[in-house]
Amino acid sequence: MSVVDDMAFWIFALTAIVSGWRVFCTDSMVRASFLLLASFIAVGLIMLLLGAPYLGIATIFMMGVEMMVMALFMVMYMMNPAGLNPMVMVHQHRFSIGAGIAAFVGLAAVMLVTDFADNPVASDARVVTDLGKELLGDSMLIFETAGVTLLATMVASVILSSRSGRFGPADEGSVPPPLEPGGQPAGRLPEEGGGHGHHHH
Amino acid sequence: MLERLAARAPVPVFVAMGRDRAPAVERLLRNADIDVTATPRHASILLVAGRVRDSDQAYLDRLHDQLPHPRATFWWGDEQGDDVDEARRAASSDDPVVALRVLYRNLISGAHASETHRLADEPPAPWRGKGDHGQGGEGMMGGVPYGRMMPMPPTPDIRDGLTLDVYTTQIGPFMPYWPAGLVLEVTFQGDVIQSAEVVNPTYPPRDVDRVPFDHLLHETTALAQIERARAAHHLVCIARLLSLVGLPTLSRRAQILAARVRANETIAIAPLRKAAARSGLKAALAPGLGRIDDRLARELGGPVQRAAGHAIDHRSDNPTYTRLDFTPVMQTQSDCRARLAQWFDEAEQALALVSAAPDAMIDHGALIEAPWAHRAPPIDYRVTELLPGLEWSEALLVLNSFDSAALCRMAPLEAP
Amino acid sequence: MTPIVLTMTWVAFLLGMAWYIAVLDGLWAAAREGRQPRAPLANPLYRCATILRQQSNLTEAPDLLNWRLAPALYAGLAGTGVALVPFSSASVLADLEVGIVWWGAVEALTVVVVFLHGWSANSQLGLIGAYRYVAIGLPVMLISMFVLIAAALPAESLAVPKIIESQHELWNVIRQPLGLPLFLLLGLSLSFRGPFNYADSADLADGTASEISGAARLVWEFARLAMLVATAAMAATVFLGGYLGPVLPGPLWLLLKTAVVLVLLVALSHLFARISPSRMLTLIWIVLMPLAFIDLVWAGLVAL
Repeated sequence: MSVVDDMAFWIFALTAIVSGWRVFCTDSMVRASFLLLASFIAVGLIMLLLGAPYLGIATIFMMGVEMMVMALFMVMYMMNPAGLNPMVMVHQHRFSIGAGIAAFVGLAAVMLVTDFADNPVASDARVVTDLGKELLGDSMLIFETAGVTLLATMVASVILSSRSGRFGPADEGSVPPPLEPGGQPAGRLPEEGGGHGHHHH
Repeated sequence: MLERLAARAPVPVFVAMGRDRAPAVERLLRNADIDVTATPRHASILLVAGRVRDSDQAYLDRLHDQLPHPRATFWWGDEQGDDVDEARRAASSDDPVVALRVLYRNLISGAHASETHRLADEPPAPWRGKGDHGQGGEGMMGGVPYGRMMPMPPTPDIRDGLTLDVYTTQIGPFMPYWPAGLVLEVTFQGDVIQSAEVVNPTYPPRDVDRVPFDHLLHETTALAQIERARAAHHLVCIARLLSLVGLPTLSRRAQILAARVRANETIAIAPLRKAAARSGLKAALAPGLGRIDDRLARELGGPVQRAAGHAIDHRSDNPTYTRLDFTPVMQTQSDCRARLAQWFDEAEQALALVSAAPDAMIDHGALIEAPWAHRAPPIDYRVTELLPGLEWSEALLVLNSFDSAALCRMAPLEAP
Repeated sequence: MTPIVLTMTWVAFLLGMAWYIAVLDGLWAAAREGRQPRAPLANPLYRCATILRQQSNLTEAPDLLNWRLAPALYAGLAGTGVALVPFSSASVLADLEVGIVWWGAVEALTVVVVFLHGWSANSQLGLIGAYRYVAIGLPVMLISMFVLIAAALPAESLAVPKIIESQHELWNVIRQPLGLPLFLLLGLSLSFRGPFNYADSADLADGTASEISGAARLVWEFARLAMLVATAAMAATVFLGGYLGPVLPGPLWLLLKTAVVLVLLVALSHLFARISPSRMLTLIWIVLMPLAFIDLVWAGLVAL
């Protein structure tokens, strides 16, 4: 490892830890999400340094989308207009402190007792190709089964939970929510081919 | 160097539309030397066009303080500006472009000092937060940042038990694409308008295209003049909608056409209409968007009424027009699309009338249909009923699918 | 090219092409309005000077860090996008084995940065623009990833130079006719122009940019142009064979192809009206997404 690589590693590592810590100190859901994103990006860059380009960049890519969606959903379901009001980002203090300490001790113990492999990969190894072969070769059945099962679970749980949701019975197609409880659906009704739901009578 | 380059750029101007100045301001929109900005943050000159209500002075001051330095205010109109120097005002009959350019050049060279804040630079309400992060409320709840109430609905939503929040804000009176003078207190759910309340009414429109119609009251007037004014009025309305759906170049083209019609040039509207149709204007105005009921359409009158399928037009009873086989054009759907099509149809018909009878005269005092909504005072005011349920961009489309006279009649009028 | 020459080419490419778009915009508008263009070549520079002459401003209680960073990050993302594009077979600034994935990260982070820009100003119209942009920007990004993966299939590699090499016989634009049109929509979406301008549109008084002035605004406006340059260069590379071409040297071919794609993008951004966000979402999920799937399946079958 060159000096530049070393420096980059320490900068990224520090960024990952500091921004991860700040997630719990900030007063806004949006800021918390994107601080977490900053932490993940730093980790992704460390993976790049470690010679795992696909995994590193895919982490950045996936986390970018994921944190964006997470911020959006948190704001959507939190009683805080547009995520603009300051708020406390931590709760259940005693339990979380306990859980944090337990996790830290556990992980540190794993780190100390594990005998990490010291088996550098040749610099000209085609890691991305190998990873692809691994993912879509021998292990394909496992990965694909797990992936499809997860996806099916997510879709099914959304369908089941939204059967009587805000947007009307799920099996009758999506209907925008009314503006007042029990009122007419507001906004655009899809099944009318773009017609508008708000009429005067 | 920077100053010299900047001085040659189009002058960035934000227009605070007062009374009476709307059509004159549209003239600025098509001038390549003037850059009419969408927000005061991008402008160097605040152009106050026409008279501003006393109650709107506070809004104007807030607007002024949002302009970045160097900045200046320019008054365009007759009533105002007695106490301001010559460099910063123009009479309503003057074209202010040259004056604006000179003022701008002096502003960036430093010859004209930048204006200071009119209001104290402090939050409108003092901080009243409490709790770990000043959030004010309990636990994870938001609270009252900056002393403003947490805009929570009073009861949990019965639909799914979630208390989703609403957001209330005042919009107007100098917002672009917004009826001049109108201040609404709008409650949003996301970007859907949940309710709206009128805080301040619109300014009564006084249109440059009204001149020939006023003229007709006491003098015999050429049909060509009347119909050109009608075409110009409609083209300006069309231009606003075009700009809102993201077609600024076509919008300018409509503005230029309007100016040429007023200058007695011969123009064709069909190419503009075709270009607009090819741009997917129909897709941008969803069918049924902004549909109004029959009673409101009748109350408003004018093109709005004809777009609702009522062929009521005073020109049908006028001998000059009947000799030309005039029959009123109309649409049936009474939505934004229909009103836009009505403007296009009526503008084209007006120009056809001009070319069919370029020399025809109309006797003074004859009852001629005006290009805008003109009926007797409405029974109730409906602008606040029009908006709830609309997404913000749709709300603006609906508002701009009415001529300013119609909009004025949908909100309570201010005392003259 | 040596690294220094390469870096200078990269900077010149970004700045020059951004200026080229501004000129094209001016010419196009003038032609469509039927008037003489106003100093077409110099007007963009005048406007830069105007914006730069204005003072930066503050809103009430903004998230200052994110607000100031967002324009710079946006420009930076555009820059890294262009860095992926090889100027010739031996000269590419960021020679990544997984260039296409990196481009995907650029797209994803762009959505984040635009959202942050609108959110952090603490102003309602910018906020609406920010949320609206996320809703539109994310699915468009998915579409572009599908067509990019399809383009990577014949090359059997995620590296951009390999994708170019795979187009020696046949450009991807012919091999996968759906790819380029769908990718062009991404260009409009990433720089929110014309029919895809949901972030900084007229009805929102310039949306996420409605509260900025001065240097921050200059960077923001430049970044929008630079992002369009990045997408155009990427489109020219992935679908039109990049630097490949007879007689002329490679970099010139890339320049020419990018310029042509930019003409297309500018035309698209002026030619079409913007439909309401909810209708656009329907269009994206019901029409464009299946088209992207078809493109991917098509590419897969051809590769087999």
